[in-house]
Amino acid sequence: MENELLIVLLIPLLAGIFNIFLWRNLSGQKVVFFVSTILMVLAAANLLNSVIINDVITLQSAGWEAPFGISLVADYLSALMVFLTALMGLIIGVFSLFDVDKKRMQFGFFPLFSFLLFSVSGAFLSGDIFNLYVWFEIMLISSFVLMALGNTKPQLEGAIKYVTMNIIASVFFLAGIGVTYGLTGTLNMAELSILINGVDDPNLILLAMIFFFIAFGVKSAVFPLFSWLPASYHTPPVAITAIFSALLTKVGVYAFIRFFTLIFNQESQFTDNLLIVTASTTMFIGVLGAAAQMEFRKILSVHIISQIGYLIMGIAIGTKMALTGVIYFIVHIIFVKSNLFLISGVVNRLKGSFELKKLGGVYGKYPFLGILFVISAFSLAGFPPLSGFWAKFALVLAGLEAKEYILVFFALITGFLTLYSMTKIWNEVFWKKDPKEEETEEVKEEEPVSIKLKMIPVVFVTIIILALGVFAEPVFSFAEMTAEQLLNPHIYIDAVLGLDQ
Amino acid sequence: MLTIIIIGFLLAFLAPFIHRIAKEYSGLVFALYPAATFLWLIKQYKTVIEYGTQIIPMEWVPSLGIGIDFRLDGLSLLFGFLISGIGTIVLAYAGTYMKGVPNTDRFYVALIAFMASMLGLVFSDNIISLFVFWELTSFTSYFLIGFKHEYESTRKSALQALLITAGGGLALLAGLILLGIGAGSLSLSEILQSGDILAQSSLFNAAMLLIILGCFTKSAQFPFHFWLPSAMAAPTPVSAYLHSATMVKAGIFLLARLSPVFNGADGWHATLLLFGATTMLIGAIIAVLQTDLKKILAYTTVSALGLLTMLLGIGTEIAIKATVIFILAHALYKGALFLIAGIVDHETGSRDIRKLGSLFRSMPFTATAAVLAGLSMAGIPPLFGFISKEYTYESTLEMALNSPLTTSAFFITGVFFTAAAGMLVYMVFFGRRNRLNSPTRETPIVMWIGPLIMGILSLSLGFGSGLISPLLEQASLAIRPENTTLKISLWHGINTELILSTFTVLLGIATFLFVYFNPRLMSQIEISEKIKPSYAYDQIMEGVVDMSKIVTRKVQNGYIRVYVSVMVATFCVLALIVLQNFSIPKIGVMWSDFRVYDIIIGAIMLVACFYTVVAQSRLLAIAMLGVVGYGVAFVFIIFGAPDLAMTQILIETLTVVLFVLVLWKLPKYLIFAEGFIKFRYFLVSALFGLIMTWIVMIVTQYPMDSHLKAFFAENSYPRGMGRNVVNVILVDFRSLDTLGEMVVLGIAAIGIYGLMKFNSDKKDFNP
Repeated sequence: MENELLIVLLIPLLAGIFNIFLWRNLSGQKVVFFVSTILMVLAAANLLNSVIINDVITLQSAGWEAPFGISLVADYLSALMVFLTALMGLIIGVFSLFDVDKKRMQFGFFPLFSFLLFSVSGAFLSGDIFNLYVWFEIMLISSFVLMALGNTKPQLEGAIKYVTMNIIASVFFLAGIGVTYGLTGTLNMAELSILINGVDDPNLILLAMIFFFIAFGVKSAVFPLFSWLPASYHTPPVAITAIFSALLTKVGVYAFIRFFTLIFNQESQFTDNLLIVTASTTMFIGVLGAAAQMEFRKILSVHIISQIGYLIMGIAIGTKMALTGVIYFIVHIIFVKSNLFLISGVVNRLKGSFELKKLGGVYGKYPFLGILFVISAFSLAGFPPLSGFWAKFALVLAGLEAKEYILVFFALITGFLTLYSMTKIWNEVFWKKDPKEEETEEVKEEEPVSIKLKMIPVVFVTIIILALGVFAEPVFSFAEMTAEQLLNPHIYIDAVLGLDQ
Repeated sequence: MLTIIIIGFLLAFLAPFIHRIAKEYSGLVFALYPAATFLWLIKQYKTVIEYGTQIIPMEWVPSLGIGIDFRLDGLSLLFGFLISGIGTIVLAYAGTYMKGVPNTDRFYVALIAFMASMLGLVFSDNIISLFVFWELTSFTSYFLIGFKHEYESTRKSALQALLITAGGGLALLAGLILLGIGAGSLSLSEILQSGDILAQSSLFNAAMLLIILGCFTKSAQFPFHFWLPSAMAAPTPVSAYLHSATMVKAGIFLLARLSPVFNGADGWHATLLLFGATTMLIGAIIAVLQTDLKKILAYTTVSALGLLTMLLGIGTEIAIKATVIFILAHALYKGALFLIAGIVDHETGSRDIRKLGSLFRSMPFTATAAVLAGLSMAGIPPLFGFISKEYTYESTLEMALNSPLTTSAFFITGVFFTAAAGMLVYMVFFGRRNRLNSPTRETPIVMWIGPLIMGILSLSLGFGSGLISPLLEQASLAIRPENTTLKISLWHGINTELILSTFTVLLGIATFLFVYFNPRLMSQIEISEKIKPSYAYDQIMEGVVDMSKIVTRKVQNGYIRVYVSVMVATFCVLALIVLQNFSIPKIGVMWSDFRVYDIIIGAIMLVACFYTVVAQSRLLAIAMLGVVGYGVAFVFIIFGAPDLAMTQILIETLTVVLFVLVLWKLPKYLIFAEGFIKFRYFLVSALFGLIMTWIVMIVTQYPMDSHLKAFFAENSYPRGMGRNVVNVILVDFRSLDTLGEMVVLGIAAIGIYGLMKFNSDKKDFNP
């Protein structure tokens, strides 16, 4: 049982290491990378399955019993997130096989990608706050290098902003760990969950919480801490942006969910207000940012922020329905947003630009691509019966049930402006006439094979999005079980500390 | 029922392939789908008449209480017949109308998908699945309006329609959820039965207003009506089908559907009456000022929708009966007139009533259909439109409050309707000579047969309305369960309604003649742009974009120092809120407790820190930072942690050396911040320093008694096989952390290699 957890982490780690040894052998690297991501998906699926049977799976690293060693824990949420990580790794990995240039591949693209998957999965599985910090560091350095790989000026500028803000966030994280350790004397999340209630002054808990709030707030890009994201996400190749958008901010959100359900789950007006204000402003400012942009990738990147706002909204409401909505939303947004990035990449290959002003006529020429975009874009905007609708529906329902009308108001307005920004792309890129065609006569562009190959992952994700929408029930019932588990932290605690035996 | 809808979506999906095979006959092939649906509905109709309302349950997302349940009753069947019946005519018509137009396959995809969604909407028995279909109709309508998307104005119209209906859709969603929470179920059947519980609920009014808002946007009620005339950018079959007969009536449908719940609430009557009457008047007045056939039709449609809303607002028995009769009458004559406008446009290339004329001779069948539809619209007996007008008068006359006002509003509308009918029919098919030079001829039978059937129906239903009254009766029962039987007859004897009706027609004809003989005068009346709601829409959309640009420029200004200071400031604000509850802890240390070297080291660190900040060159700043680092190392030594101190010294040395090496490569040091800006950052930093000190002082007040320490000390040698506890922690107790840090170093190495060696020349590289 423990090994199922271990193997998920070992596969990407070993793949990364192997590929460093295969430095000059690109085709070898590709094979190792491809095989390893497939294996990782299988291992993650196996872990997920096993968690569904056993509820919580724990691994005490180096054989030291909790809370003295480092516990790795897979509950529903962790296992789901790891599975999504692996799946997105595979899908975007396949896309990058055809899209990322040879030069970047020669400079360690594949090992870096594997290490990124390794670190993200590790973060999801960690049951120890200091260990989580270490995973954050691996994630930060591997994403930083991926972002800078290529050395173009905008990339370096973006990467510097990214790394500076995130390192400072890590310092906050570390300080928070210090304060928490000072108060409770433990690093193990499960034990922390018990001992934190022994702190006599609730304000002390809040003080510790603020450090984590800043740290995770920067990671997950909430208002006003998100500035690194619009500054950097649009600079690297789209495959890299796509995997970032799928994983990086979600780790921050995961940490939010974990900490606020397991550790900072005390009743507190301050925490509630903080989360409500954060959620509302993040949704709204994020979507305004998207409405202001005129570049395909920038619209999408900035828009990520508003989606994070929705997730925080669910955490702020905190009821079972709200958390169910959050889980479903995460699944939905990982697929949809990454798919939109991939489509922007395909459009860029076809038309040679990301600027809305320079693009046009894609629907006329490539109607199939148009349909793929429409499905993802309208799903993002929350049009039924696509996945985004259910995600938003569950959150709005939860919000209205909990009488959080302000949050619901912002959620709906944000949905409206999302529709506006998505139709802007659709209008400019797909419906409008190609501005270039007016000057030169019909430019015959052949659809090269590599474009068709790149479409495979896009089509695959689109099918998932459709299925998520039309057959929402299985995911919802899983999300419901996850929410149930999160709201009963003793299941997690008992499993980690071995109290259930 | 579900099967029919699924078949619809499948057919839409397969439409491009079928179109490739069937080519110009594809319209007829596709028309089989609504035709079959129509027949199937007739069968269901018999069941409903015999056994009452039928519910077909089907689970969808049970975790959320959502099912795709269907409800067959009079109201849904009435709409079902309209959707499938007119759908058949429109699809057959479109086959010829769209001949030779590129990308017709996409048109069919959207149109058939729309048809299926619309059927789903009216038959849904779950408010959420209803909403799903509702949004799908907005979505498909967006693509149909934007069919000719090469034109910017078309794209703008499509977007306008989408944003308004989808924006209203969001309000509707919130309203429906509130309704569901109030009733404790999302099932329509249960909601309709729990009207009493709902009326007690505190959410009742909010839910009602939100739902009304959603319905108003969809059914083009003032002040949201302007999207509908703009939507005329769509091909004419679409205008006839979506924007006259079916989709725009979805709002009316939902208002009617939920009438049993809301009927009786004051807000309900007042809102529907006020907005309905306003829309009705505005639509009718603007209609006669138009010269484009489709625009006239669009504005009269707006007016008709207003009338329906008003009737629902009146909500009495007779008003509900008038509603269902008018729904049918309007769908028949307006659908026909739209299709005829399409024929005229298709054959002559013009839709301008000033240019068209005397087409009767060349298009006898189309003209006959037009005359029938026009007479029904004008409300002239014995056509069905006349009956509908009689009922409407009866319901306005019967009103307890505001009867004169409402009656006169409807009177004015009726007058303009008659005038508009004259403009649409007489000016195009009779009247002056055609001013277009091209010869015209009759269209193929598939195009004129549909309007003619609808025209004949308008006529025959006037006589033989007994045929249709059971259906209408069921529909009125569904809207108002306490309604009694509905008997429709042409002749009610000479009463107030008939007199009013006669005057309406006479005055209408007079108005028409005035317009007919003074065409210039009419086109001179211009409505100022600024009072139109569409102007407000434009302003709001522009405002949103402007605001988003301003906000984004403020928030995302590109300076990393701003980002970092915002982060630190956020922390400070949050921390201060919590720190209010703490007192500043007493420092239990005397000056005499400090040893000399404590003070010396402290002073050195402070001075170095100060110089790091104010240094004008990088070298000095780094050297000073190094001094601070060594100071920390000394602190470690003083407090008895020699190995930590050693590590610290090594790291500091290495950092300073590396920095100095790198410095040679860097460009000149530039100072961006000046004066006040510097002061601002100084404030933030100082505040941050103070707060951190405060927090550390608070936390260190608490005793540190971790059981981890004891465990590590105890087990390090016996179980970890190492005497140095720190080492055992690193390589055994917490070895996973160490592994992680090793990976970090490895990745950093790759990164440094890439940063140094990667030269981004063109070969093999895509930026």
